Amino acid sequence: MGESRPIKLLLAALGGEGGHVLASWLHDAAIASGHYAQGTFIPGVAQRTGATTYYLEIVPGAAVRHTTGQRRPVLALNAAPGEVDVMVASELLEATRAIQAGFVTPERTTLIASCARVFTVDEKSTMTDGRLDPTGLREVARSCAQRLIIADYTAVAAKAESLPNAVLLGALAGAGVLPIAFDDYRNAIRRHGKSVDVNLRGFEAGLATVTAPSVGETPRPEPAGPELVTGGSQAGLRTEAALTPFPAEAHAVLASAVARLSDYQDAAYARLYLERVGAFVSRCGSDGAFIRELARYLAFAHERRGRDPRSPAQTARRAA
Amino acid sequence: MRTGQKGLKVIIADGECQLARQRRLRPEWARLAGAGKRVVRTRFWVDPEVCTGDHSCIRLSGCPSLTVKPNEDPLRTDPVAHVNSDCVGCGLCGEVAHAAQLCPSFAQIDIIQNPTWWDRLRWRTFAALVRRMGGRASCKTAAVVPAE
Repeated sequence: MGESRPIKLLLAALGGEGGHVLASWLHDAAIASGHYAQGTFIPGVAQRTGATTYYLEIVPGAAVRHTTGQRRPVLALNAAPGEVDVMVASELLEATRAIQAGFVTPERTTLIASCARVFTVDEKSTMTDGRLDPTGLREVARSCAQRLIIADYTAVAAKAESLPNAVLLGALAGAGVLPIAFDDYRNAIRRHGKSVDVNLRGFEAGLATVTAPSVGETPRPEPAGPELVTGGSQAGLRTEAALTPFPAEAHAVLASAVARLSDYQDAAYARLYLERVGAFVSRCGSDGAFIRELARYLAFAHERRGRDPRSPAQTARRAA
Repeated sequence: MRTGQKGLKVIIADGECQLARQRRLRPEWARLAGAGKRVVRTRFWVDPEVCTGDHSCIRLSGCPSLTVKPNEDPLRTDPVAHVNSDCVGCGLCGEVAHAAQLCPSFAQIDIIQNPTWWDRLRWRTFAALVRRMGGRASCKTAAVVPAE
């Protein structure tokens, strides 16, 4: 046929995230850069109960065929497994879904994925903690893509006071996988004419995550667990000394429980709590993990009991 | 929606789609706020200290802005419910939770742009009263009231 092979790009987003706008910018920028582009947009209002996908094929250097009577390139309407050059996913689970569907292959696919999570209904509605382990999902992305560009683009967008779709466009531009100049992306945003400043800000922030990797390539540290109250004396109870008989694993939980119960009633009540937990230490089968969980549950049991007859309790008031 | 019958189906809705309503009203609110007029927006909020993390609200309402976040309490491990910034303030979550006599952790937050002197006085009085009773109403701008 004597024409260059089309570049195939698949974009997966959740309903309401602006995937359609992102795909339109891309389509526009590709044509402005002198390429022939065809897009199939499957939008939705799915908001985490389904996905919206946008598929683009770009024939480099063939923009003239949009306007002249020349034969137009014959392009596909949907992505075929194993035949995607660039995969963009606005959310980590969406990225893994695309991988499962075969759209990300180690031979050719550059995967640009946000590691931000939007929890599924199943994850959210579980009684306890139903959230998936993100490290596993990331590992899948790492092993299946030829090149992986991953960052929390939702957080980048929030920091830049912009929106994730503009940030993703910036990251895509920065990745250099499409033969489109940065200014063509910027002009596409300007031509659309809606919230231009906000979107340009997002684009630059996204671009910086790839071109200045210290900002974005480093994954956001997993949100550390809540601060545990430790150290010092709590209402007359020397916490550190009191904790020495307990296994080290349980110290953090015990310290916050002591702080809480001292606040709730008084030091004597907290001491009673430690005595009760202490009765289980060095019993057969009670290891550190067991003591930690016991301490956690018992702290609540103590708080719910209210005034304990054995403690010279004062009614407690939560300190400000 | 689940009927086995073939053919045309019509949905008769009790109210306007909240997302469509937002699209209609947002530009108007922005215009009014820009012109210095008083604008009240409503958001719902889950008190993370009260939420037990059982996620009944999510099972009952299924609102996309209702999600979970890590528990702030070091002694509790289950994630608590959280209303993200997509909330349009339709109140369905609180209504459902309340109707099921389920949840005291939902609250309605009215965000007032360009508050009047009456709004300010009301809030100052309210915050002073709560502080007197040992509460923590130190925030100068937002009013949290229990959901209906």
